[in-house]
Amino acid sequence: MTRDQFIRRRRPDWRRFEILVAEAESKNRSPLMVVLLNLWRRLSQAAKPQSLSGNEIAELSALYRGLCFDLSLIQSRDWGTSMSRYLNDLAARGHNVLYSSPPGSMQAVVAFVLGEFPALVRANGRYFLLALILFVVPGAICGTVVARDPSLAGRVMPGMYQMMFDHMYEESVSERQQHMEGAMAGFYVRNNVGVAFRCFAMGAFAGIGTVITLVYNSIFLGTVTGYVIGRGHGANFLEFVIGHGSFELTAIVISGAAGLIIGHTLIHPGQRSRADAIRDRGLVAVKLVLGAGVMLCVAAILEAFWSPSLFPFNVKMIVGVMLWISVILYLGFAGRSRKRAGRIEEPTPLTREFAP
Amino acid sequence: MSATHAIDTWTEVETPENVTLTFQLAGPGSRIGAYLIDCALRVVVGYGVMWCASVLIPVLGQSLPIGFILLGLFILEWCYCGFFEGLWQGRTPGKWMFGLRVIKDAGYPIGIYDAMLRNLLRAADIFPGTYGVGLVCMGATKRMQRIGDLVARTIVIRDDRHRFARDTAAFSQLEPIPATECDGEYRVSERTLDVIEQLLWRRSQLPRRRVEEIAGILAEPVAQQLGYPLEKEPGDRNIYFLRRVLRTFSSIEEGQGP
Repeated sequence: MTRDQFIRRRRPDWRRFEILVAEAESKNRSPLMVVLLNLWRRLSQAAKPQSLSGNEIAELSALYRGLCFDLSLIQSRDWGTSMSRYLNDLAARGHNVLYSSPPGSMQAVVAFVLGEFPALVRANGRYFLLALILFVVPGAICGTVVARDPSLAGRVMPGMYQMMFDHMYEESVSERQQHMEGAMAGFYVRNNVGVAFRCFAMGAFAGIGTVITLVYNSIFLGTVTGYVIGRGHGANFLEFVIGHGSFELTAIVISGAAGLIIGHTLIHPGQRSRADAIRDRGLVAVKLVLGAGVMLCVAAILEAFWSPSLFPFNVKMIVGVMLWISVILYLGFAGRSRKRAGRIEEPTPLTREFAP
Repeated sequence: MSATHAIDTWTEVETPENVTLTFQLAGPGSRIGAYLIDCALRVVVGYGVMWCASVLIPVLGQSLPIGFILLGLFILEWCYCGFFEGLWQGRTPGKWMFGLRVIKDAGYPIGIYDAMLRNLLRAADIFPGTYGVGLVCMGATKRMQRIGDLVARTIVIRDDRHRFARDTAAFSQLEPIPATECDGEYRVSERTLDVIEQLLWRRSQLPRRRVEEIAGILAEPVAQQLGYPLEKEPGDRNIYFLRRVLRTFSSIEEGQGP
């Protein structure tokens, strides 16, 4: 078969393939609108983004296999780069259409929040524990020392901050209402989620960046706590932080755990190559940090609207403790039944068949 | 494409169908360009959000609009690239303008988690300001990946569409070389035609003398093989001959285009 014969025979298929691929891709042509449309579709599950019918998809995949064969044929012969590039391009587009991952949905998001995320936290409990130690121990030491002698706080935070915290917690929450809840919610989201994401990303430096971020924040928060307690404003401080602290502090620890996963995988990929190891662990880590981001958004809303609210001290303490318990229950138990249901059944032993 | 690529921007991916697909990697230049476009777009959108919020201040009071602004800034800072790449086949508006696309290093389209992962790790790539770590990392890796790409196992490619046909229209006025004028084998390999086409295509980018020199080197063995009496004068004659060769031996099938 000469090159011309080959082209003449195969071109109708290539053209048909091109039309189908273009149709499948067309949903991505006009840029911004389609992105928004896709987003809406994914969230509402109103329609599948795939615009091809079942028959067309079957046809496309058959044509794709033919195309792959053509491509490997001309790659083995010397029939010119223009043709092989053209076919390569077509095959790559087909590959992209056929292998695109199933679209996410609102259901998937809910399932992630309710089951997958807490299950992942439990599955990576050792990283969580390490991050917890890094985040609690330095702060606890600093806090204890500074609470005994508040003048030591100057070693960590400048005098300006000390005056600010004095001013903030001198009075109980009810006396410093500023009617800025909405603005503060936005600020907490941007600031805290940013800290968590950065803490995670720094894990790419062999985990060192994450450790530094965790320890730094731990020392700072511990010192602030110790200072405020040392100055005798402990009750006002606790009333404010106990509610949102549950989600916020836990989420920071989880994002730290995610950073440690990245770092650990880079240092010690185990029996696999680094690239292979990071493929699985990277997915786990990003799921953890995105879940932590969701938790921090909850924390931001609590911190902005609940924590400075005017409810009596006792009510806020009780709700705060309940929030802590619910976070612990959520991370400790949510998604357990799902996992059990998804477990592969043990195969029945063959011996029964041979039994007389 | 069986030739080995020592140093160039092509990368090969083997698919489950046992076919090797070739992609052209995007270098730091076009990626920085796309990044700057995205930055500019984000600044514009950011100002838009602020303007909208400032209009709302008399209605809603100060607190909520400021919250919206800060939330908007957060989304622009951390989610813009991830959302676009995850939901739009690995493109952001900047990448789209520069014809770039992000794919998995195994050739698959990226999902939302890959997109978020590679963009969250931007914080590590930016590290000592101005993308120091990211650029060094791109220079040090074979497939020009920054840290975010390495961890998410993605590559950034040029999303070009290659034409199949040779542009025979450009030569249609030329006389084909008749077989009667050739004593040798009346055939030119596709690879040679490719080289000729490449040379003619790049003619405008190269100095004239250089083109003539290369054309001479190329024309002589082709003429020898064809047994075509090529005049020994330098310069334009060689280029004219090469164009005629391309005209004569380009397949008719290709002229019809895909």
